[in-house]
Amino acid sequence: MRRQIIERTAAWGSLLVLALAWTMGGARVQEDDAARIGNISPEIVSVTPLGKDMFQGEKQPKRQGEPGAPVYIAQATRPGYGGPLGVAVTVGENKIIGQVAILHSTDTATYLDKVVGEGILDKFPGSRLDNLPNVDAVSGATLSSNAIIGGIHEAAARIGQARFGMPAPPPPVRASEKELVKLAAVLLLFASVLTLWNKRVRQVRKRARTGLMVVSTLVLGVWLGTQFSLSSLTLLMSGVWTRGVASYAALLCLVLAILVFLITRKNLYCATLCPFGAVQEGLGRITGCSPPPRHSWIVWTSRIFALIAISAALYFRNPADAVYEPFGMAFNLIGSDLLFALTILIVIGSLVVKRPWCRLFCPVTCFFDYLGFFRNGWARFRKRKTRAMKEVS
Amino acid sequence: MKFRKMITYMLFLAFFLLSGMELSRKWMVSLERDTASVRYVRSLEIETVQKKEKKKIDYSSLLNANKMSKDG
Amino acid sequence: MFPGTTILNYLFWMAMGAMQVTIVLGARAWLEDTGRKVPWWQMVLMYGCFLSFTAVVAGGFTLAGEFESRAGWYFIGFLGVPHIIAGAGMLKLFVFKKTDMIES
Repeated sequence: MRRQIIERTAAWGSLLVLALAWTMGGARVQEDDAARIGNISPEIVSVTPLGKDMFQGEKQPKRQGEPGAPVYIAQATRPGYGGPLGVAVTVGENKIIGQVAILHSTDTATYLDKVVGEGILDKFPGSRLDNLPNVDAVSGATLSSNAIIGGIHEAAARIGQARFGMPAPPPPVRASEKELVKLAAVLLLFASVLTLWNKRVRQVRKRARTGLMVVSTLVLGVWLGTQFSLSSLTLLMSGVWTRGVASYAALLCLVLAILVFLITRKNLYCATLCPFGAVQEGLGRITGCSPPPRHSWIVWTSRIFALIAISAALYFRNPADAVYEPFGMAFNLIGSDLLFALTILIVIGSLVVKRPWCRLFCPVTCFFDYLGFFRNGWARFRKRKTRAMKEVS
Repeated sequence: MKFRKMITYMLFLAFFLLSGMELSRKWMVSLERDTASVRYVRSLEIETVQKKEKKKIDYSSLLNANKMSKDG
Repeated sequence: MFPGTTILNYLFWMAMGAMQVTIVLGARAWLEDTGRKVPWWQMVLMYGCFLSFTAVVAGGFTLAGEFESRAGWYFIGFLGVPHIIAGAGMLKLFVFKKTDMIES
């Protein structure tokens, strides 16, 4: 009884904490686009809006008393990996790009650092508006790169059209083929999981599950990198996805996992489809190790940890701030040194205890525990209601 | 304590510390982002908005301070 | 290894050497004690894996000694993990065989 009370208080309390974090995040100091544009360069002064997403400023003259040369600034927003990504371009009267800037983004900082570090922005300053360089996306961070490149092209074209009579900017690109493949792959994998848990295929279930785990690791993990994480959950909760994200595959994966969990009452995603879980289980099979003891203090620590991570991400309005899972590092080798160390530790730990990350610290496990609590509560409520109805009749 | 139990506790502690450090780093970046609005700038001139001056340590003043404290 | 020091380098390599001798000879003695029969080629494979792993650790620390400690850790991480996995697999297949478990 006491445990039930604690669980109930924690479940409703955590909802309150999340709501509080969201509200406090809204009250945080946030600059508007005009202020950001004004901060691009200390050399550009007197920035005034010219129209939608267009500004005009003056380049500070080298000598006092001389008039400043006009500078045109345009901004554009494209869907990045974790939400809208805003870029700005400044162009002088000579049609040459002076500055390019990333104004705001909710993509993971290490991805953005990688993209910028590879010099994706460096290729634009100095080029003419009518002859923009063809820049390739940085592999491993394609969605962030494409958002940046597309945004710069759009902003440049906007200035070209408004000030120099050049053709209108091309409309934003529709979903790429790879995106459609990702969505189809996610749908197919979930359909196969549901088929697998049909009572008729009980005899081949064990082997089919192993096969599905291998396929899921290769497709969701290695090939497409669409495993959902705490950032997908925050993205879904915060509603940022309504403003456009470059890939909906991870979100679809999350929504389907929740649906399957509610329908079958089993966490089939973690058991069968999660690529990182599959890798851990595969390594565990080499040594034939058993699962680690999951004490209640371990469970509660990981739950509180996940709650703090989501709250912070909601507060900062940045889904990437909730990510501490090493999924990106395990399959795409992108992430910080700490995540690298964590991945190595989990891989070696998987040889000693079965699925150490899943059982000890994975926030996705905590999330499904949480969902399970509400699902069970709802089931109990329905049962009580029908019993009461029967008694009345 | 059993070997497996010990390994489990060690793994849990390591997960907690590494994940905690990872998150706190991200939050520090987010806090900084709140104060510096533009994230990355590349321009024709080498100057960038976010270019931070490296802190220079004035060794002579440190040595002098040390000397003074000793003297004092 | 340890830049800027003199004695630590020698102590480190002496400790590494002593550990390797202990592991290589100790493994053989332990196998004989427990009555596990491992063919020579399996022993060669396991010793080879161990030797290769120690080379990876040495390589990583050498990089650290060249003031490239980040590269050193990544070197050990990327190359060391496959060695550990392969070693664990070989131990399971060659040493802790199912037949041994049944006999015991």
